[in-house]
Amino acid sequence: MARHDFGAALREADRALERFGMPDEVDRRLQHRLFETLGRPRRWPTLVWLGLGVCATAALVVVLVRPESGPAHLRSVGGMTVVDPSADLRISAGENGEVEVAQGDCTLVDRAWGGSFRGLGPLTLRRERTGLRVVRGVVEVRVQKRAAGSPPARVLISDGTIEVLGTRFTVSQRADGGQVALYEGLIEFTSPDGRVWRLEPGDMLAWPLDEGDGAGAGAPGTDSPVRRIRPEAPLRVLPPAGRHAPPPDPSLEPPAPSVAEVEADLQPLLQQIAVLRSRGLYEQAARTLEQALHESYAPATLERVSFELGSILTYHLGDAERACTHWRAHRARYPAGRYDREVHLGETRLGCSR
Amino acid sequence: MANRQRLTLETCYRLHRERVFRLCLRYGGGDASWAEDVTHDVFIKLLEHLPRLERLDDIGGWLYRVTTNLALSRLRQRRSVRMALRRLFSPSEREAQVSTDLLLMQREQAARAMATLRALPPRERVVLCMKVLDGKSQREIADALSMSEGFVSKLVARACAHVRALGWEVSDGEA
Repeated sequence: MARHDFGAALREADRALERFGMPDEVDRRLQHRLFETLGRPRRWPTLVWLGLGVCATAALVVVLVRPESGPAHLRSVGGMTVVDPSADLRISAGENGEVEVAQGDCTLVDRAWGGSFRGLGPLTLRRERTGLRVVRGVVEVRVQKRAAGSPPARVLISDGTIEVLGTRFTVSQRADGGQVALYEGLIEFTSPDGRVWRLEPGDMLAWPLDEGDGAGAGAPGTDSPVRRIRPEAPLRVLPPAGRHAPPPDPSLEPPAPSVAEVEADLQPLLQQIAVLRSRGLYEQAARTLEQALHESYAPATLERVSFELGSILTYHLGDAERACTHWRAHRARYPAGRYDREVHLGETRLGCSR
Repeated sequence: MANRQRLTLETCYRLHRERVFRLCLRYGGGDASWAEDVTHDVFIKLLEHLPRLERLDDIGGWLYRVTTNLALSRLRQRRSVRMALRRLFSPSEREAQVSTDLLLMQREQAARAMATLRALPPRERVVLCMKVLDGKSQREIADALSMSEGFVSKLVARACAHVRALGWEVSDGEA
């Protein structure tokens, strides 16, 4: 077998790295980090340095002695700071700037982006040129209030972009769609084809989006993806925001709505659950889902209901006994189900015996 | 003072960021996150040394030396016993995935060469890069890394032996 010249191959690799250059987002983060450091006073009296030295030594001893993961331990993964990690946290930085939380809970703070993400269960995020993408999972997003004139923070999902000016909301991204529920502030949702919806507190928007979504803006009961999730308010469509939408991002191709009928079946129930979740009424949400399991839904719809129930028992209520019993029944009923991976992660998290 | 320093740092950053980042990418075997962190630390070092730097016209050479030494130090830390144990027992602490692999996917030999580079011990990796990619002499490498010329020669020989053992041809000029 012919041997290749290492020097030539390495030079070729190096030329490729040169073409890769420094990505814009890396440049932006570095400038932010560097010039923030420059703003701090740096020449302190010797005694202060001495004191700091003693503290640093003590901290080093603590770091070397204590286990890696603990509630107060801070570390950085994929350029994000991990805050408030649970003891069982398993987090890793993957390819293309992806950060995956496979197990446990934590808050991921991205200072350059200007906000934080709190995962509710397994989660995958990815840094992209135009913002932070929620690849998979349910995540609560908090964004710092932006200075006047600053560009909005952007959260990317499979069917569009969420522009934020300082607020708190939940994004849920599954393989076949997702939804955003807003608790505070104001956000704008832009679909890849440039349609824009403005969401106010209490609004929820679900995807995949249809071609006709928003066509009857303002009229109650139309096919707009934006819904009021307050139960006391009638279901109505919000008008698109009155501004020119940005051109669509070609990298954001919506996935095929493989289980559109499931989503259509479940919309009212999911909205009700979103309301209860946003109010912290998890037990009530679980009971509602348990009742729904006895309704005459299609099998695929019931599988989804069962999965949602398991998620609430596992991640919100942390009720190991009920959750393990539920996951066991779920697996028996759907042996090669669509949520196998999530079920496995839920069981592993709770230490359910199989 | 702070303003003058800031201006100098900003100018140096604008002029040299690409080169420093590329050096870090190279030493990190294509790991962009790691390269970002080391690039940051290089410019922090520059900030600390700015008042004492007499010749700003040779800042490129100074940055090359500092980047190379800092990268070497970080690579060795990553291979320390403590870090190795952490990686062994905690999957989340495994070495970061290489973020530029996709870039090299179409270039099979280039991707293989980068993987070979990552398999080398830190000192051999850095010395080989300096020799093969930057065309530095053993004397220049020894000066930049504060090593003896004899030790550099030994590192180059060891690196070439490792590379050959992984199925490559290494030309005489590089050995």
